[in-house]
Amino acid sequence: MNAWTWAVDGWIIAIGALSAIACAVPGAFLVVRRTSMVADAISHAVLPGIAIAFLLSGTRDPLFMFLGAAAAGVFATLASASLARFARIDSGAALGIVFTTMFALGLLLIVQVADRVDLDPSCVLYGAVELAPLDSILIAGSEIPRAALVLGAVTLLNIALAFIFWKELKLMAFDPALARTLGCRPKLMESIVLGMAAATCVAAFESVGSILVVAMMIIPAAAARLFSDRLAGVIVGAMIVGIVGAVLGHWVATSLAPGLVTGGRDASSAGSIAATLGALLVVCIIISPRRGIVVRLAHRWLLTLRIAREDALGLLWRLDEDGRAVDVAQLRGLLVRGSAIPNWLARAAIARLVRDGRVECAGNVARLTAHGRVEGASLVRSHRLWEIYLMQRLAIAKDHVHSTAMVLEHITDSAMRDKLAREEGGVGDHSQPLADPHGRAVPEAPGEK
Amino acid sequence: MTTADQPASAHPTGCEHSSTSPLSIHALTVAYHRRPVLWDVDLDVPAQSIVGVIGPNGAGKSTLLKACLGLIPISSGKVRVYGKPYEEQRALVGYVPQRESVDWDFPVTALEVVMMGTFGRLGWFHRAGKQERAKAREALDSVGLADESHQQIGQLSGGQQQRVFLARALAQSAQLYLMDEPFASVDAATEQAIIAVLRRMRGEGRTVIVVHHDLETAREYFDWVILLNTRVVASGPTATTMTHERLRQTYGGRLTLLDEAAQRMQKAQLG
Repeated sequence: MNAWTWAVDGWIIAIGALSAIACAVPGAFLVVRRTSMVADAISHAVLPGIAIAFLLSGTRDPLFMFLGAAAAGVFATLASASLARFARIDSGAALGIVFTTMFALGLLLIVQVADRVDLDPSCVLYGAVELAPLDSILIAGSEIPRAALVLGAVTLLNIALAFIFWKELKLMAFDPALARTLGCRPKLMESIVLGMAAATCVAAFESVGSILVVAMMIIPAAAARLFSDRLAGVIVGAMIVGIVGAVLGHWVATSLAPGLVTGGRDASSAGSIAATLGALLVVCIIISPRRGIVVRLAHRWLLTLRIAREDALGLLWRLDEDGRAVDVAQLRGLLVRGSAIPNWLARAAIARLVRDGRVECAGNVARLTAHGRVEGASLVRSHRLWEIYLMQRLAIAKDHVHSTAMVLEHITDSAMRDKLAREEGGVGDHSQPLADPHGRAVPEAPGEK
Repeated sequence: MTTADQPASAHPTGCEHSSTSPLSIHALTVAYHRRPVLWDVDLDVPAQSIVGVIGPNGAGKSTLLKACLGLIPISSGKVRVYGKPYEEQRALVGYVPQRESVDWDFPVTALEVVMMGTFGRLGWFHRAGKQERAKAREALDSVGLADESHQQIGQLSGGQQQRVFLARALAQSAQLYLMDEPFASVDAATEQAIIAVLRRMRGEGRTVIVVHHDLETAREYFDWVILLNTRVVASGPTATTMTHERLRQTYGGRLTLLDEAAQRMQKAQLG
């Protein structure tokens, strides 16, 4: 475990963060279009292009690398489209076949050229972000790593393209048919997204490796989608998640992992960043404000508690109707059996009703307060109106309507009750008060007809 | 509402190719994988009318719209919009695709979707601004969705989603609209809201062509109908065109000889 040296660790984090920002733009478009697989395909398929560019040029000049990668990317796109058509397989399978084959070919080529060009096959997978600060260029008196310059350029390019073609890109991603009729050239826009993805892959490849490129493109965008319902929000959110992942990941690699798993040596930063991004996504799934597990569980818990409270009110009202009185323990027992809920939940529901002034315990007897009586009457009214409706309109058997009405009564407000009452007021005898299928009168609710 | 509300002169009769017709199709043939799905379609749609395209599943109704819009290649024939090729008249034509054609989980709000209708007029390198936003708000308001403008589109009901599409078409300010099943699986209230908007559009001099499934409501909604089953069985004013005999021809027995010929064409090309 070493103390961070900002000249080294700072640049590693900066390169990771720049990769995150560059990847966020094409990544968000691929994720919202549900074509994330394309990022995987491009990042792998460009490898033979890069290897061939090495073979032909003998240098690591980014321009040659990019040209080679772009050619390979175009080839992969065309090849998978033709494969899908002629081999009669789905496009996902075609993409999978083309990119794995091309990646394998690329690895073979790289092993062949490794003697002549300074490139390590394992570097391709994991990158060598730790070494990136060593390969630097002197600009305006300061040493700036080449990787940071290349990534910075691609980041600017991606942001500029997204800014210039924002409405066309958004329209293409959402509704390509309309885009075409409006003259917004969706095919061209799609090529721009693929071009951004390819350029980002090439730029990020050498420093962070292909695994991290895929992780950086897809995971932050997927996580950001859980927090934002706007495309711009997904892109900015993806940048933030990616940057957090880069900082945390590097910390894991240099401070956490050496103590826990790697026996004192630093772990791979790129690998740790990718793993951290995965962990961050899990955290986002848990805490997302609208789709998160925590929120969903809380909603369900609140709903269960509300239903238990309402069932208790209805129960007390019906007992009262029969002239029966129960103590708190009996009420709890009836609630547990009638609503099929655990004992502790019944206890919580009754305690809450007492606290809210809907139920009072005089001596040992549980009774509705005036307030509780009004609410209990409304619930029973909903229940019995639904029973009538279900029997008369849906021809459901008399002994089956109770359980369905038990559910419906909890989603019925006074407006819906009014509608139900009007429907049922139209049929049957007007001189008699409405009665449910079991012969019990439908209680009046204050302020309702 | 029937054709009686329309000035009689608005309807060209017969099949002569009027150059001022909003949509004029001549000898259009479209094939998927070399198998013809539309044979030799001839049509002239009258201006300022609501036109229904009616026919069974697989009759080529959606294909007809897409072919007119250049979304799928045509094998032969020509399409004219107000007398000129579609490519020159793009701005005059609005399109409402089927609701299922997009991903409603996409991260945009209703207002943003409606604003997309203005992108065609904006052109390249111009950003949507206050004017487009105001136009989109107005369109959303006119379909009764003013309160839903900032909702993510997936949170809207099916009927509301269809109305968002309609508002987007309104924001497009086109003259001729092609709508693919705007009434598909919407509630009764939405259906009434949609037809009211279509009638208002007609009142403003626009022409709306609607792919439609329900024969019951067709008589009430459309001034003009196109009965389609791979070829045009009949097209004309609703009252005189939707006869029992013609509906039987449209929905009844398939043209077995034509089917067989189509199959052979497909085989010959693949074999």
